[in-house]
Amino acid sequence: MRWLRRRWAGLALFLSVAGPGIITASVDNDANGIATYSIAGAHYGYALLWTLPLATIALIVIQEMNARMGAVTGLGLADLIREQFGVRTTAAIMGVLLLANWANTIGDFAGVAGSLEIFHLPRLIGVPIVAVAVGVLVFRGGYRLIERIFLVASALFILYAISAVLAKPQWGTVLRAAVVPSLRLDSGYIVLLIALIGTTIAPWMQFYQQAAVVDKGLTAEDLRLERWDVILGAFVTALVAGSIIIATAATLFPHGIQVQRAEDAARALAPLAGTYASLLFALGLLNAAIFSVAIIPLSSAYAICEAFGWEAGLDRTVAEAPVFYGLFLAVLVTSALVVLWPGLPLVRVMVASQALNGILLPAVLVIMLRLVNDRRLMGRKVNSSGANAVAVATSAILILLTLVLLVKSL
Amino acid sequence: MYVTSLPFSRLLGRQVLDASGFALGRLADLAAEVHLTRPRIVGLLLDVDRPRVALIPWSTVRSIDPVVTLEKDRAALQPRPLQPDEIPLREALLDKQVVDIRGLRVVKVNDLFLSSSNGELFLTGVDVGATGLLRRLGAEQPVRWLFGRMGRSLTDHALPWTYVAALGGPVTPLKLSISRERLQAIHPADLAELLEEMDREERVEVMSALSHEDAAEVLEAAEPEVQANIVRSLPADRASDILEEMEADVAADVLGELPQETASELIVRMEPEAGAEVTRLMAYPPNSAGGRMALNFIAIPDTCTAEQTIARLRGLAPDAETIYYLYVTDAAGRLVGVLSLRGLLIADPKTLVAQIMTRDVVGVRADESDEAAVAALMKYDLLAVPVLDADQRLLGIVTVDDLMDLMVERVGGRTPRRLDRIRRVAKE
Repeated sequence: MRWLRRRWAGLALFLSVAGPGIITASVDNDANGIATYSIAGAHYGYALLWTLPLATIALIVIQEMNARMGAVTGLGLADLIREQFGVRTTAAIMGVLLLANWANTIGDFAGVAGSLEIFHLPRLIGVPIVAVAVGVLVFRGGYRLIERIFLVASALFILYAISAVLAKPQWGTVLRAAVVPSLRLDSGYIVLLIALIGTTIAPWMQFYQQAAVVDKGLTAEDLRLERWDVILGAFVTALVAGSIIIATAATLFPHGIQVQRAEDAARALAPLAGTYASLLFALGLLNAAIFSVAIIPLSSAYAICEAFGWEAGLDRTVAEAPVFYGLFLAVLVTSALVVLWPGLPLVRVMVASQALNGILLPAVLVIMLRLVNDRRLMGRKVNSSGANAVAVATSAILILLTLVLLVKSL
Repeated sequence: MYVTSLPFSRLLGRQVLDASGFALGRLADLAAEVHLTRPRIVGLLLDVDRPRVALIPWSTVRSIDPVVTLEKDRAALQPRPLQPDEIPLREALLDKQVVDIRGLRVVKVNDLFLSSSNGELFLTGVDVGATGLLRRLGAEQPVRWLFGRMGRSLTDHALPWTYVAALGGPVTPLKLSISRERLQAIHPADLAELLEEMDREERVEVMSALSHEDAAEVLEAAEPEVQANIVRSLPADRASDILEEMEADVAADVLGELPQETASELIVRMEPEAGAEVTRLMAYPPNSAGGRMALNFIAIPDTCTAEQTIARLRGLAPDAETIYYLYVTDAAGRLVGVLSLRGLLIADPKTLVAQIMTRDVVGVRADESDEAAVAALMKYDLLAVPVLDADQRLLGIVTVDDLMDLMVERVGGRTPRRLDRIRRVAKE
């Protein structure tokens, strides 16, 4: 129901100051994203860099479309899907979202485990502690605290930009790699390609950002400013992603270092932090991971309750909103349990979760395209043909890559 | 009425055949005549008719089981456009939010119940429970069977149509008079809370359904963000009409939340007197005594007798924030004393108020902080404290209600969890 719209506000603290676009972008750089970008740089050097400008354009177009939908209709995405497509489609999309978000939470718990291993804390101890702490904080209303810490600490990622510069990459090569596509057909490359797009444009972001737009009470008149907010957010994401890829490509790739554990990726910060690189990296990763472990299960619970009209919100009691808290706990606990599996390859799980994001994104995009092109809903604010082309191309490329991957793995 | 209730979702998608058995298409929607207690189904719409404009009258329907069969051939059908007092059920109600006016909740419509009587079909209830969801997913029977095996039964959660105030969706807003009557039966404070649960269009619908006075009362009781959102979404003249009816201090707070441009545009549209009051209040910082004060206090000239004062009170009291304190002013509007209602009633009718009033009045300056006003209320156990300008002229009062609001704001912004859920049970 719509009362949760206001409660979604709890998910994004700086809402009154910063815009929905920039907040969504900060949350977008979660532990899984860092892992994916690190691997892309470490294993393939600059060879995947060219996807970044394209993914940024797609990100801007899709998030703008999403913000426009929220501002014009005044409805959250889950609500809009339910009202326009009925129960079956809603159930299918919510299934997709739940699957993707569950994988993301598992990936982020893997990030928790990975960063704790740098501190020599075994995951069997660390992961349950974090899961319980996050659960208690959310139930006791301390969620805002996590959020504050995260948003301030997410500035840490700027260190990558500095590290990238200090690593003295050959800028000419970097620039060429950023504009000249180089396509390879090995499965690892394709998985990373899908994961790079999937981590930049995630399914949950669509629900999260639209809720933030509606919460802030933006209307069609605010769209001009909101567009800049979305563009700024996309550039923040691209800056962090590009810095990580360049830093890892300049420091790890030449030595042929394969990122098996989080610690390996930490060396990319060595040009800046020297011996403190591991510590710094672990702190940044842990911060991003813990925050996402709280926010992704929460946003799943919000979206699903919104779609089906169940009570939700952190200011409700458990008795008032059993489904909401139940969903949150279920996603949190099962994800933590998966990561406890001994010998689970943490970094690979993190990248795989982002690849799943990319594989599932087209389902959400197609629905969004149908909504945003509905004249009865959007009036004159329907998509331009350019925006449609970019969104359709993104979906088509993802579907194509998924098919190629499927054929290759047969 | 529930004996033979038929879920609307079972009908949707059924094939529609004409008299000769020709398949015209599938049932996409039903239209009902708007009615307070029993909306009658007037016709059906086909999926092939994408813009949903050609209504096939219900009178031509011969049977609906297992497929919809019409009495006429397709050439003899006389489709007609939808009338203004007819609503398409799927588009306007299904999957939309409605207000359960008995339970005072906003709920989602998972299915609709139709009942037939005398050969006609009526909308009798809405399904707001899990059964409706399962039915639409095609999983009702398996789940029923599973529940049966566990020795439990799956209960319907249906509301009779008479307990429902429908608002319509973003595409088909309903400007229904029946919703208006039903919404008016809800206490303004409860309705204000329900507004939080609604989206923008629904809020606008509710605020347009109520009279200016009722809408003002509801808006006063709403949360600040909801207030600002609603005022921004309403047409400017409607918004200014409602603001006019509100207590000046609350209206000033609402306007203070808006962008300056929007606020001044609304003030210009207000009645000059109300607009001037609001502008005066907005000049004070929100956290000052002046920013928090109410303007509807009772002031009595010091030349009045007790008898005259009581007569005045009859005229002033209905709107006053508090009637227990009567402030006595001199010819220049300066506060010279205060009189309690008790003191007034027991006094000799002919005595001048100046003789029975307390001269030693506790007051705060308008530019002092609101905490100073609240401290005065608490320390001296007062119900209200007067707010004065530099020349001791009486400007307004800060009351214990403001004290409560301030305390809640300081404690955590919102009403405590459990209090939040107290809602008046609606009358029959």
